[in-house]
Formats: sequence, C-alpha cells, structure tokens
Amino acid sequence: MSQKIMIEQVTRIEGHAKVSIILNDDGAVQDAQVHVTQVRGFEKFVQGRPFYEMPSLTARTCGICPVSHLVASSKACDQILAVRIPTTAIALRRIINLGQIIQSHALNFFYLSSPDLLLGMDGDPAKRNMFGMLDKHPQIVRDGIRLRQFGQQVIERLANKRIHPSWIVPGGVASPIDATTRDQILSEIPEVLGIITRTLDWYKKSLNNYQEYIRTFANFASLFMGLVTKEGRLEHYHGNLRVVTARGSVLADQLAPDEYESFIGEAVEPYTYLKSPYYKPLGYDGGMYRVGPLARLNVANECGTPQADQELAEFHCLDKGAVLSSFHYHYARLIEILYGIERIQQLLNEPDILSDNVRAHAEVNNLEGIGVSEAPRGTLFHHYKVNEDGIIQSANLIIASGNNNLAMNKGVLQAARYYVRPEKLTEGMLNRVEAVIRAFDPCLACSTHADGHMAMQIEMLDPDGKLIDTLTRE
Amino acid sequence: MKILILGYGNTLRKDDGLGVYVTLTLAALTLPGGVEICTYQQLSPELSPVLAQMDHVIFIDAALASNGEKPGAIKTRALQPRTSQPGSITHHFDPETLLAMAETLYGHAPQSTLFSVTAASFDLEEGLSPEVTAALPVLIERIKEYLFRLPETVST
Repeated sequence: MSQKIMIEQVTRIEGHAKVSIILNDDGAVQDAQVHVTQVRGFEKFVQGRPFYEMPSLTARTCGICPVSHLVASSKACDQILAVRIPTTAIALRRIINLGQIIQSHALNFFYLSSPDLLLGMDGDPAKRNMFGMLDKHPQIVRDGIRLRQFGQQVIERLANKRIHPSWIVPGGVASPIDATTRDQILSEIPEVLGIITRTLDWYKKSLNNYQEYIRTFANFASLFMGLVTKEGRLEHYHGNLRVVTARGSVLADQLAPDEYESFIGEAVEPYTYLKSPYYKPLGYDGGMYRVGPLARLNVANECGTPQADQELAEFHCLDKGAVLSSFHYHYARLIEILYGIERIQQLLNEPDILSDNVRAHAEVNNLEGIGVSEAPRGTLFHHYKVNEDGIIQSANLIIASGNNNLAMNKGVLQAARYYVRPEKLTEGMLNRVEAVIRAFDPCLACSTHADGHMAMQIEMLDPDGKLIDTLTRE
Repeated sequence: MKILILGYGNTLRKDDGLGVYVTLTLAALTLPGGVEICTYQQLSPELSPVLAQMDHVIFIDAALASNGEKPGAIKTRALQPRTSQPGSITHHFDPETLLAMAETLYGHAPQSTLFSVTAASFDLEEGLSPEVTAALPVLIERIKEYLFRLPETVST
C-alpha cells in the first residue's frame, strides 16, 4: 500500500515550498519532490516596461542577492545599447558583485548552516539556531556577523544603499568611487582575511565529523557548470561557460552565454512552479547539472588569487574527479569568500579604479540582450527582447537556484532514502532533509530562517488520506 | 554621548514604512550633537556591533494594533535585552533580541527606547495612511523632546 509523507508549508521563506516523500507498497522511499508553490511572475509583468527599468525591477526578485540581478540585467541592457562599458565600470561591477557573494555566503554558512554543523543535526531545535551558537560559539557568530557586515558595507559604500541599490545601470555604473571609499575598504581587508582564514582552518579540521553527511547529502554524479575566464580561471562577472563531468573532464568549454538556448533547455514539471533547466546535448534524463560554489570550483583550473588558489588545490583533492558531494557546498562557499576578499583587494589597487569614466551612453541599437553572471547560488541568465522604442516584449530569466532544481530534488530523495524511517518520523530526520536543501542555499530555504530553523509539518497519510502520523516543528 | 536613531520598515507595505519616513524627516532637522540617524529595511544581526558602540538607541517602527488602540496612537517604551523565540528571527528580528546579541557578543547593550505608531494598514502600497500621517508631527516633536531631555545632550 503506497503512502506519501508530506512536509507541508515550509514557512518563513521568500517563495514557498513543500517536500513530499512518496513510499512504495513496501514502505520504502520511492520518490521525493521539492515543490515550489509560488509564482513570481517577473517574466510576465515586465512586459511593456522600458528596458532601462529592468535592473531595478529584477533586483526586487531577491532581497539577499539583488546585486546579482542588477549585474545580469545591466549586462543584458548593455547589449541592447550595443556598448562596451569602461574598464573601470567593469572593475566596480566586479567589486560589488563579490561584496554580495561574500555577504550571501556568510549568511548561509554562519547563520543558517553552522548551527547544524556545530550543534548537531539532532540537537534540541529550540537551541539549534543562532541563539544556541551565541552560547556555545560566540566567536564564530561574531566572525559571521563581521564577514556579512563587510560584504554589505562594500555594497553600501559603492552604491550608497545596502539592499536594492540603483547604482549598477545600463552602460556601467552611476558614479565613480573616491579615494576615501577605496581606502576604507582596503583598510578592512587584513581583518576579514584573518576571519575567513581561521574559519577555513577550523572547518577543515572538523570535516571528519561530517563523513556521513558527505556521503549522503546529494552525493551523486552530475554535470557542473560555471563561468570561467579564457584561461579557465574562476569567474563571477563575465567570461564563457564551461561544463565539466562528474569525472572532472571538460565536456564543453568556452560556451558563449549569448547562445545559452542552444545548450540549456528548460523543462516544466507538474509538481512545482520552479523550472528544471538541463544540459540540452545530453537530453533531460542525462543533462542534470549543478551550479554555484561547488560547481564553480569544479570547473575552474584556479582562482587567480594566492590564498584561494592554495585552498582550491586542497579542495580538488577531495575526490578523484569532480567533487561530488553537495555537502561540500559549505567548504566551497568559504573558499569563495576568501577569493572574493583577495580579489576585491586586487581590483581596488588597480591604477584606474578611481577614474571618472564609468558609464557608456547610447540609444537602443539591438533588439535583444542577454546578460549572464554568477550569483552566489549559481549562474544567472537575463534575456530580454525589446522593440525599437526599447520596450520589453519578452523576458526569460533562468534564476541561479533554478539550475539546481533537478539536483536538489535528487538530493532530497537520496537523503530521504537514507534517513527516513516511515514507521516513526523524527525531528532529526526532518532536519537532515532540510540540511540537504540548505547545502544548495536556494533562495527558497535561505529565506526560511535566519537561525537555521525551518518550521515544518510532516504528515504521513495512507492511500485513503487518513492521517497515520504527524510531526510538527513550530 | 553617542545616540543612534534607527528607523526601520518596508516603504512598500504602507504604514510599515513609518520608521523610514520619520528618520528621513529627522535627518533634515537640527538635532543635538552626537546623534546619528540610520534607516534599515529590517533589523538584522549585523546591527548588533553597531548598537554595542552606542550609549542610547531610539528605535522607530510601526506597530500592530493591540488593546483596542486606534491607528495613529503613539507609544513609547523602554527596551531591555531579551532573547526572543528562535522562530521569530527571520524577517522579524526584534529590537530586544538585537540588544541581547549586542550584550552577549560585544559586552554592551545601550539604553534603548522604542517609539511606535499603531498602523492602520500594512497593505502592498507606498505612502502612509491618513491616521499615521496625522500622527507624524506629534511623534517627531516627542522624539526631539526626548533627545533634548537625555543627559549630556542639552549641553551640546
């Protein structure tokens, strides 16, 4: 007799989701699905708006990573204008993008995930959160707050606003930075480098404690995709796409983002509003890929900054081919924070970083624009079509988290098969399913809880819908 | 004395934007020396080290109606550091929790006061309701009086 376990109404999220775990007649886990139950509708309601509004409009897609949308959207608008933006503007866009990656990664690692890592997956839910961390690991909380603050202040100092800044614009950025701003950020680099270095130190030493999770948290073969430079280095702002197999070999290299429709398909599943992108040449069944920190470190030959390169070399030794376990998204996030800090320092020390020439101006010269960048959670695509007056006729957005939809579903299934004992649902089981989702750091779960705590209810129903068992976390 | 006026809220949710509008108004006025003003969309843990450096913090926010209060009612209360229920620290990080974090992590929680106005609406709209708008001049005067009554501010 088949049964279904529902994790209903994952509450306190930007966007809504639930998880269903379907049991077969023998009571074993047969399937699991992550249902995104909310429609955002951006692709529809931007139609009819002038293209230059798109950065500000699409920034409202997210309160954690609006800068990512500003970057990708502005790049699409750059193409509509047919401009090459000034090199200083490129550098400034890179800096603010990295500032956001730092603060977003710090949020996930320190606020959302570290309670599980340091207080235990089976810890008392009332204490397995930031307050429990305040008691047991106050220095780690301070470190997380400082890193997040640094990233937010980079954004605020450049763009004059922490959330939804309007500084990144079609053609470049709205204003240059001055020496005071540059020097303020540079003066904080040693402190935050110290923080991330010691975080990596304790995290790597504790990896042995997580071997079971490394084995079972979305640990499977998949493709990995991310932007790289011409030399194959880690890239978050521009570059071309590289696809790597689970064995670590390059399947496709230097794919032009403008041609994404030739290699990325978007499928729709009936159980979720989140689209399921896949690598087209291998079809829907074989084309599942992952994006984000884990994928970016799998596709990159090197980072291009000294300390991050050392860490990357160590990271690549985790597996013989690509690093497969999604638990290692946590490790990858820390390396990206380190890279982001080092790279910001490099960029701020470039001789023309204070140049006044930060924006190119033009009218509509192309009726189509595609902007691609790396958001904290993965590759982000903005594709617009306009008429001759620059009015949006259509828009296609492939959101970073959406790229991971297939892998996240498979990961939840893997965890459910390993941890779920339907005869008795436990809170620890529920938390492990959450933790798999949290490792991907999707925009769904990252908004669910700032304290590592997701309110959930699991119901086990028989085929007639009769309630057999229930487990609720407030 | 270091004083921070912290207005917070979402200006796209009608009266929830009260804190933002009030701080913008205060920023244009002549206030005692040592007063800083800042605006946030929501309270978050990154504010705790900022608070820990202050002697006094004035929080400004819209409030849900309770005890039969009418929209536009102005309330003032002193705040104490207090850890809220873990489930509430998401989009509703409250001032008391922030103060508790400042005290636990950085060794100091400033004296703090919350000025609030009972909201008429939290609908998805910009602008304040007529009731809250009518309360603004009185609220701003009360905040100014409060500031000038604080020790050490009169002499600056």
